[in-house]
Amino acid sequence: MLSVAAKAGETAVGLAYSPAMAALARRRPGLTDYLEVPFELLRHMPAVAEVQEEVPLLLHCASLSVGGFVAPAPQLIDDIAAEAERMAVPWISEHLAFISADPLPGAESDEPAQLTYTVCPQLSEEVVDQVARNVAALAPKLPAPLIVENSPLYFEMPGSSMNMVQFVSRVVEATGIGLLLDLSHYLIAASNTGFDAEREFERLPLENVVEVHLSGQSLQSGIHWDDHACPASERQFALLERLLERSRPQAITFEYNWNSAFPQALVEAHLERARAMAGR
Amino acid sequence: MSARALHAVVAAGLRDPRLLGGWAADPAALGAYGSEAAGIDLAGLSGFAGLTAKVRHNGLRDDFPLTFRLLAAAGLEARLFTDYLFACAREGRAFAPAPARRGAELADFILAWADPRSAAGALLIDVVRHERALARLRCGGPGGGEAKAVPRDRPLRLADVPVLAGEIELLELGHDPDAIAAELCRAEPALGAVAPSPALLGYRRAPDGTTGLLRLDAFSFAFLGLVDGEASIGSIAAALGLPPAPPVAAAAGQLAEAGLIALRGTRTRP
Repeated sequence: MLSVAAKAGETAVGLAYSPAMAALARRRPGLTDYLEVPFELLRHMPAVAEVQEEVPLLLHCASLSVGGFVAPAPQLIDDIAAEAERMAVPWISEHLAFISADPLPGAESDEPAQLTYTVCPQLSEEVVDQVARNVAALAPKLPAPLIVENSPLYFEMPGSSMNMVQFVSRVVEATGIGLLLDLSHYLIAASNTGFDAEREFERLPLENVVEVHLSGQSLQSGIHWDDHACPASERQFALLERLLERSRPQAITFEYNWNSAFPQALVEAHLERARAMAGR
Repeated sequence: MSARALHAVVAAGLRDPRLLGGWAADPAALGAYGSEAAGIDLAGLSGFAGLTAKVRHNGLRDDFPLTFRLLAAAGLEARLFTDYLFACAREGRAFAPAPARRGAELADFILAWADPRSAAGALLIDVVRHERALARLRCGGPGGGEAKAVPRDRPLRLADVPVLAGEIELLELGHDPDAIAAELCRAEPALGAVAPSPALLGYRRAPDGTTGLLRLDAFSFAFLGLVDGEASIGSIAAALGLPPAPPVAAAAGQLAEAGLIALRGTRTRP
């Protein structure tokens, strides 16, 4: 079993897992430094982990509801911890979002509402405080540091009192947590809520960035959407360049995992480009 | 209103799109959950729900590559999947777990949803029909058909009753799928540039299970469409408005030579 072990000060460059990307990684040893696998996929398809015999893995989660008010089940936390331990991952990434919430008043069931996709929380001090409580509760139970990923913002959450940059900064300030900076999510939030992405970028806690995500975006029905079937834009590479001038993330991950026909030549070119940008 | 309560309202809407529809029709119902709930951007929330539906259909991209590329190029993905999610919710239907079924249900929806009067809609209808037929071919086993081959020791006669050798789905499309694919491969597809070009196609599974896409001429397309194992070559000719004359039998013979039809009761030669 291989694990991600970047040399000190060196940035690993990898791909989000999909069957097609795993096949590519197997065909071309050394092309990607790692594959990033969702915990939720491993839970339903444990055989996916077998790829770690040939390619190191990172663990990405979407179940811990770090930005929410309903705590994850203890068994779920134990399962994530066990998986992280088995995979010997250097960190565990999770969305700065919620995936479960209380039932509506008067609902037939008093069970929490479980979603299939993470949702950006209200951007407020109340949620910052809750994230801090969640992180404090989770960290001792996990065998590797937890880092959080900025969410895309597709609609304004009522009651929000800060923009995404301020929210992420406040969370880092309150918890000291590492950041998975998703540049596509960042640009989506800027476009959909109207802040200047380039100007605000320096205000992000860039020194806390552990990992970077790049993927595509699409504009439909007047809203900018995350789209892992499209390549990262030049705008994202420009932001990556600025980030690398300020800090040294440990990993850069391309999320090209929605379309098995994603052009292989483009994947290879982007991996090489990121390596060159990171001085490798 | 607390953030916790607000999250509950958002989550409830995402879990059950019927609630979103109800709130859109009666905003006061949303406001009953709290003052800030009334400020929820229902269009944005619905679009987000549509995105989650789209992601859950990513597994179909292998079977419907042109469909997804066309939806993206036309900027229709978000609206389609939002409408589809709401339609399924209204019918109380979950997305089918089996990919083939999930693909077939999505295709059925698109064919009813797309606007054939728009350039993108007309192309979308053609690529969905085309890719749905190809997907069906990939899913099946050996082709049926009661006959395996036509005897070649005599020409076909007008009284002969042909049967399909294997299975064939015939589609008349308004645009050539290859022309649509070529345009969609461009960096910035111009969907209006794909000129109408009727294509007569046969999606065939031979008795031995091999599959193929046939480009047919008008006679072959019409003739194969009337082969039902009951009608003779002569009666098919009459149905096509052709004189029941030897040239029709000869043309049918060419279909037999190509292995597309056989005669009832005949058997494959060793």
